[in-house]
Amino acid sequence: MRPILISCHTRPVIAVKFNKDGDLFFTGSFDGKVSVFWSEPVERLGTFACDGAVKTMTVTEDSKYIVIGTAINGIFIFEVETGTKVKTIEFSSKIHVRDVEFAMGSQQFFMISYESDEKKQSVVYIYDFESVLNREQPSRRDLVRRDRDHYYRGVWGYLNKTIVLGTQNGIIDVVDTKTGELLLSHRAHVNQITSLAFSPDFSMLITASRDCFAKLLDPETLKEIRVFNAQRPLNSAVISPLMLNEGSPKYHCLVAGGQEARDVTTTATDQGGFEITFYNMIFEREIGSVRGHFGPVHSVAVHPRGHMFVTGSEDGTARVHILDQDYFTPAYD
Amino acid sequence: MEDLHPLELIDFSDVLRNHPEYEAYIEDQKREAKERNDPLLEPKPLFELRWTNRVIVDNLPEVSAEKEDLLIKVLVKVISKAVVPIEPSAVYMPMVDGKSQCFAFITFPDEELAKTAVAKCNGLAFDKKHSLTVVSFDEFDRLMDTPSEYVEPRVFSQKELKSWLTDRRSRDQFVIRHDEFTKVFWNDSISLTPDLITAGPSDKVWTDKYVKWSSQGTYLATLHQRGIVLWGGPNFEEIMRLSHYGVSQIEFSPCERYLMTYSSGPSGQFIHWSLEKGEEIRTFQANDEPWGTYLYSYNGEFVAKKGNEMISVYNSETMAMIEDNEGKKAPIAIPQLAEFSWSTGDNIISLHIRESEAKPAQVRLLAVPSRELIATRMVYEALGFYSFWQNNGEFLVSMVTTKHRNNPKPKNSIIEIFYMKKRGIPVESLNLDFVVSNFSWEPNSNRFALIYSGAHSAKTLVVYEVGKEKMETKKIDQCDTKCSTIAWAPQGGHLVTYSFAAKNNTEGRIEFFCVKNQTLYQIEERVHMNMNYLEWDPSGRYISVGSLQGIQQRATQQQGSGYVIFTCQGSDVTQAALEKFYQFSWRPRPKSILDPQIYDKIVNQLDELAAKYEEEDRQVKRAAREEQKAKEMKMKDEFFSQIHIYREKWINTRDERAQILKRTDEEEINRWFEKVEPVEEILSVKKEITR
Repeated sequence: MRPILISCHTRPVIAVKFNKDGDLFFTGSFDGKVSVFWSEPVERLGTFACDGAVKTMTVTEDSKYIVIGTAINGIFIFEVETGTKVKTIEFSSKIHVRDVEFAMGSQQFFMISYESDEKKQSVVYIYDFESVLNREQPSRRDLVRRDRDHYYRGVWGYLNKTIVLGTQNGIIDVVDTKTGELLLSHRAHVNQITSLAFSPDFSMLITASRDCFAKLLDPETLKEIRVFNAQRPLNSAVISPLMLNEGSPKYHCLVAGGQEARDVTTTATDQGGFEITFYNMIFEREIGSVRGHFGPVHSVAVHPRGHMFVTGSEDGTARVHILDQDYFTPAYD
Repeated sequence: MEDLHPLELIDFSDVLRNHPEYEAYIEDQKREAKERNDPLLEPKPLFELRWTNRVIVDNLPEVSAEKEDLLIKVLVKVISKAVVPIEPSAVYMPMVDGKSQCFAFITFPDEELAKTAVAKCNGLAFDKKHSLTVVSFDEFDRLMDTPSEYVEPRVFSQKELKSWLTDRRSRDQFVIRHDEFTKVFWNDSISLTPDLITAGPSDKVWTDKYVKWSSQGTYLATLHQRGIVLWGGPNFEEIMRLSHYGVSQIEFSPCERYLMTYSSGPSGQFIHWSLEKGEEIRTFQANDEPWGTYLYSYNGEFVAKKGNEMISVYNSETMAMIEDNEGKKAPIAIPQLAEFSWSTGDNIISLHIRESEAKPAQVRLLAVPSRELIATRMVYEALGFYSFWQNNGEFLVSMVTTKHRNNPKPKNSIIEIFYMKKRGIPVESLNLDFVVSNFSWEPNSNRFALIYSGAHSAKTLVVYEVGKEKMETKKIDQCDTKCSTIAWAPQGGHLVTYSFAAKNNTEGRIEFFCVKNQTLYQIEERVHMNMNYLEWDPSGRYISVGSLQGIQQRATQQQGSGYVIFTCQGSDVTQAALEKFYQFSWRPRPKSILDPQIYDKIVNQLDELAAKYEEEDRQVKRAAREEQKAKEMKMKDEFFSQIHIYREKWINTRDERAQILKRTDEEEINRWFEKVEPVEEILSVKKEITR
């Protein structure tokens, strides 16, 4: 498998994302740019320029708009097709955006922020997307606040009924979207939760953490189903959509991360743990790994059809991997 | 020392504050509480509960309240006469319902006097009818703890103790300590997962300290705060308890008949035990001497201790010092003594004598117990020297690093080979033109390997062969290596060179070599993160490496924490990633008692025998595969029953989903489709005339 190397960013690539149809993917970097590509063949379409380091982004289901969260410069909304900046939501410099994500149906999105004022709280807001586009002052709802142990990542629950939030110290909170009531709080990890993702049919939740474990959890009770010990700090874990494949489903997940950037120079590249590992979720078994990056991998995104994936890394590159025909044989089930 | 909090009725606070260790203890507790982020609790103080200066006097006459004073007066008189003058206030006689209970407690000024009182007054006639029974509190506790019913002690036969050697597939055992677990496994190269034998007595933490195998593997010793416990037999049952408060290090004699235990600190002790009787033979106060001061000889017959310019040699059985020519028990005086080591095949001590003004440095060989000097070798311009005994004591290498004249930098190494089995112990000197950084003998062989660093710190591994008949040492072969230390396989033939991780989060390296037909082959090269441990298994087939952490150390997330077992060719057998991984230790085997002729015969028949064993291996493999299959089936069922609920839910809520997405599932799927459009393009047109 020969990857396609994307080196159009000058700083670490922090987020990569496919749109819902899988014909486009986006790479966001600390250099303040989000690039958009055709996925087949891989061809660059253009760049959205933001002022400030990109932290996170999310795309509407119809791929019309992209919402980009930057570290301290607020949220930027672009029209994907034309590249025009539609809207900027600015905050005071004390508000740091941690995560944004569209709900199912793209009617609303949440923003997890950390507010470094006197209160030092982390707040989850829900924005109504229509009002964001049309009104001067977008209507937003203050859903939940947390004083200590701040939220870092979040994901919408099934049918937008809940939001699942992961904290700096490894706790997962499930919050009711309507009332903001805390439904469940569970200590899943002992260190920062760096990624939360549901399987495409919402039957499983996968978490990745800096404590070197990725865990497959029951989406409602948060009970552990499988535990993957990757022996390196993890930044991202996703479930391959091939599990819904009729005929030959593949219950695989992709896990990536690596030693923190400040430790990297002390090790040889093959010990940094920068590879992307495939696990069989049924047997909790490692199937194989894909090497290539020479810095920790920040984000992994799988094509909705499961035949390719994109990774973004601290080394400033994104890599597009198109899986070999071999992978689709029963040998890798 | 006991925790006193349960005894809340007695106020010990004043006594405790005056205790010499009180301040230090409180500081410790505060620091620990800070680390745990606890609110500062009032720390629980420790207190000595042994009442060493008090005795119990029993078998006194029974008297009423009126005569109480009189009896005490008489008792004081008797004790004062026999031991030391005491005051009546030192006697406490409990009275119940106005009657004495026939016993009293007496407090003496110190422990020694209390001991004298027990020795002198026990059995002393008090009056015509009564003779006193005087016991110390320690003795009293012992008597009270003795169970009233006699239980036959379990006697372990040699067959039971050595049962692990009779394993059908001659596997080896190892013990690991991680977190609160202590587990003993069979190393199984065929089923690829170690086979758990025991994790200690059920529902109990086996030990929270280290464990140690005895030198021939018969016992497993677990260290505890109050002493050590020896375990053995097929199911690891308790064999013996030896109490030594605060024990931190232990060493079995090579014959497994004796044991040395050590506790550090101001009141540290070395205790020499007899394992046959389970009794202490002699206790030495440590006086700040480090562990390793006392060393056993090759067969455990003698124990030697290095003192200041002298060596004390004791007979292990009695722990009496060996006598000199005049029959006097005295240490052996050796001026300018630097180091000493026991031979591994005879009761011989090798000594390093420091350079003095008039004399050069020396290597001396001293026979024990005759104290006879059997060889001496002068060494000039020595910077440092080290002894290496071949494991059967056939050869001794004394390696000397020489220096330049008037310059303290090392110049080169000289290897002095002592032929211990030849008459008169001749010495061959090998003058090398480099400085040797590591040296190791091949076990049961006449070969040795060494590593030296050349220019640009490039390291070279060299193997030499010492002449068996003639005194002639030849170089066999050499190879480049990146590692600094040599470890030969216990059965010879293979060796590895290794380097531990230099600092946190770096990798350790192992290189596998094999010596065959006078050639040194490099087979494989492996790395392990944070490697700080390496050990060959006793058969020389496998090697374990790992990343350990200290028990006292705070748990850290380290890469590579856990162990890996490689074959001697460098391929993986098994690996385990364990947090809080403290110890890994192979169970040693006793020396082979096989006749060399039978050994050769087996080697010659290896091809025929191999077929039989391969068939057995195949069967084990098949069984392991089937077990794995069954396990996977179970996992599969579990997994699908888990996600089935949510899959149902997904199907049942399609309407709700469609409402949110404003599309049904069918529309969702048919939202886009692939269309193939052939495009024809004529690149160029060329005309050619063909004939």
